Amino acid sequence: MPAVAFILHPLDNVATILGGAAAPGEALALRGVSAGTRAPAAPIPDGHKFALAPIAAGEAVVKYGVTVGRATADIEAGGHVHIHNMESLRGRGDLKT
Amino acid sequence: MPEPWLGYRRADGTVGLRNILAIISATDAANPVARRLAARAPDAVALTPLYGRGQLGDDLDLSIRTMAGLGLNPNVYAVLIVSLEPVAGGRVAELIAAGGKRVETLSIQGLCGTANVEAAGAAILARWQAETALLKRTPFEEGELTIGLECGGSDASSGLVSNPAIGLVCDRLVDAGARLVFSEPVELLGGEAALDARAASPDVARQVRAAILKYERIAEEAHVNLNAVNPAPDNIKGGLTTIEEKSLGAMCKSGSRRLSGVLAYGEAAPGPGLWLMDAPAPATENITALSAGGAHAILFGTGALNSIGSPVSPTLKICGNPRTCATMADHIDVRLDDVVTADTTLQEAAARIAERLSDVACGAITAAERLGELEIAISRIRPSI
Repeated sequence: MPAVAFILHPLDNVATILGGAAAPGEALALRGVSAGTRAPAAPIPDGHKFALAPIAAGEAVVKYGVTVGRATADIEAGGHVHIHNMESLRGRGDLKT
Repeated sequence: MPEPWLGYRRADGTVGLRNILAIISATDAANPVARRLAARAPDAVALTPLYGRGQLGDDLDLSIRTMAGLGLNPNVYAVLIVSLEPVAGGRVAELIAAGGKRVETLSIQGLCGTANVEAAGAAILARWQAETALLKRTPFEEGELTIGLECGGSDASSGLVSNPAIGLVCDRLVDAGARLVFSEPVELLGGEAALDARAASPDVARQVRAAILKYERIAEEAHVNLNAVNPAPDNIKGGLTTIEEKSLGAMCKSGSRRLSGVLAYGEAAPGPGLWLMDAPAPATENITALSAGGAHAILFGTGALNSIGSPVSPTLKICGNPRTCATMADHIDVRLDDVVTADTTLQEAAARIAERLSDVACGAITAAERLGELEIAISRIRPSI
């Protein structure tokens, strides 16, 4: 069973894959607001996200049309977007002095 | 013509989906005897919170109110309260009796030991069991239901499949006049704008924001990153990265209808519509609050799996993760993996959930009931002294 990629909102800059892991260059059928296929540029574990366009460090990661965090490093188009290169903007008591 | 919903009409006009004989231990010293008693009657369940002594003020009130709420849940036929000494049990019994439900109390000290509690309790349960055996289910309207909405063991599939499908069922039930209660305000962080637009009034919008920000403030005051705890490790493994991402998926289960107001932990919805209950997100604590608020059943979206269910409110596990559906099928009530692996729409998925909810309401047992994965946990807001 091949994985599929969900894009939930026209403003989203990430796609979420479900149904298995995906390999670089693997064309994934799109679900949600887009049709056709998209391929990640890196191995993406089941349930994880890849960037639909380059996301620069500090820029918002957008899913459901809403900011769900910010990039902590430059992410290339198709790159794996996860906790190694993005972080939350909410509940950050660790940043309070 | 859809099949009618069939339940047990109570004297006060409400409807129960089960005839549970609830044994509540009002102090944790009585938990073992409560469990032994529950093993003696087929429809008995032991509700065995920890603590019950050394609690004070609002913390004590919350515990007493939650125990009483569980006993007053319409699925409960009658309540047997056991406690170490009679006062702790009596104060819970008083609230249950005031709510119009049959209740008996037994204390370990009062009866000179647990063996006597067990013998006296068994006689009470046998009497009630004989009564419930004669009761018949009769038709009721879906608008009479109170349904809790929960998600746990979430992963990326939760916010894409199970929670949006539950949201469509939520809309249908709200439109039918039912009471729908979603919760876990910490898992609304980041989704405030959409909820503002759905609030019934500016005052409700303020209450919703306050309930959400309360949890962000806990992390800020402790100088810790809330994201170190929520999303949890299983959420992160399944693709969720931040509390905002988890929230946007979690709130899908609340559908799209107007938000009527905010309820306190374990508080019953005062009227039809969609309500937000202020209760912590961990599943056992959360479903305990939903059950205490009178939930007839709980629609529980899961991804990586959380196995727990409420002993009082049949809890349906609804899953859109193909791997979980395949490897943990015995825990899942409604499989929605074909939304991912085939062309099943969310509307078709919602119809499947509604059909299973109707079956469970009419007596079919859930996976959690069959497996005995039933537990309660009452939130604490102060330390014991």
